[in-house]
Amino acid sequence: MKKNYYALTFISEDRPGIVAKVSKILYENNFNIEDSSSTLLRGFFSMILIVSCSEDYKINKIKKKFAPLVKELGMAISVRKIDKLKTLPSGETYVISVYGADKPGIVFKVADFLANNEINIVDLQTKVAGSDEKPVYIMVLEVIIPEDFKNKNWSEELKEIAKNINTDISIRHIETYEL
Amino acid sequence: MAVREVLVYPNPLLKEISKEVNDIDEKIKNVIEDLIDTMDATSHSTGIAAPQIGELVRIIAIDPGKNKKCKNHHGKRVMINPEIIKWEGLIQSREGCMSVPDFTGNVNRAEKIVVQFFDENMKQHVFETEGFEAILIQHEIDHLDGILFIDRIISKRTDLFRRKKYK
Repeated sequence: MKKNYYALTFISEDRPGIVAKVSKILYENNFNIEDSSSTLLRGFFSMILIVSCSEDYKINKIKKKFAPLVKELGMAISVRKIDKLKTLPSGETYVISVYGADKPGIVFKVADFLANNEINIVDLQTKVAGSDEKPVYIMVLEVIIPEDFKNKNWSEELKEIAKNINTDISIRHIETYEL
Repeated sequence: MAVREVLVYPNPLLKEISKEVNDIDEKIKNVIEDLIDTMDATSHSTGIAAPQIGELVRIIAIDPGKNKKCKNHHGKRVMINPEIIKWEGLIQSREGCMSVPDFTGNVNRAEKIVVQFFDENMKQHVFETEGFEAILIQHEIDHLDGILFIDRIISKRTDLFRRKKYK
């Protein structure tokens, strides 16, 4: 049986029941949740899902199924069809924490370096902590360094970039144990 | 003497609590041999527990040296009725398991443990170990209690939360 894949996002002002309402519609329409990540961001519950279905729906058909919910919750929704699922890049996993006084450009400078080195980001979270007067920006990334990666000096170069924007940085190799 | 099939979740045997071994009879001898054969046959496997081959007895086999980065360990061995009698520290790593294919998760384990067990001749041993070997032993002993690393997952990826407001 051919599977059709779709990427869905839902963003809604937080209240109890959002996941139940969204997953009810998915369940009743025979969608499988293949992969998902949902979290509360500053009062907005944000859901990102990759779903599959045996039926080949038009995007608008899926949007219509959620229309009553969009109206009820004032929810923002997006739907796109996925032609081909990509596999996760292979390589060594590193977790990078970058943090310092809040200022524009922290995410950009770090991401720009990673992009220029063709390093894949597989997870990224940012938070503003500290007091209102002295906010602290915290960014935690998970990246994959390919096995045949050429720039052996990448972590030193990234540390230099972090230093130039006055942030602290730590880079940790994550060991995965097959037990 | 046989390489056995490694059971994969949701096989219900993986959630059972295994029985203590009282004496080494023919059946137990076979389980020990099969455990080692199965572990040896899987190139990346540094450890295996009896329930993973469908035998609900408290036996694990470990071969920490198969992990090239593990320098300090007590070698390949079989542990019967293993029990951790002391825990110290906390270490996080990302674990994968033959019985839960294609998935890994961040798990907290004791950094250092003292483990007590019996060998194939029912002779008692105790040793202290840390790092990879300690993680390995804790992971395998969990199998004897029907616990998979999924039961101990902290978060699939990174953890960062806003602090609750204290009044």
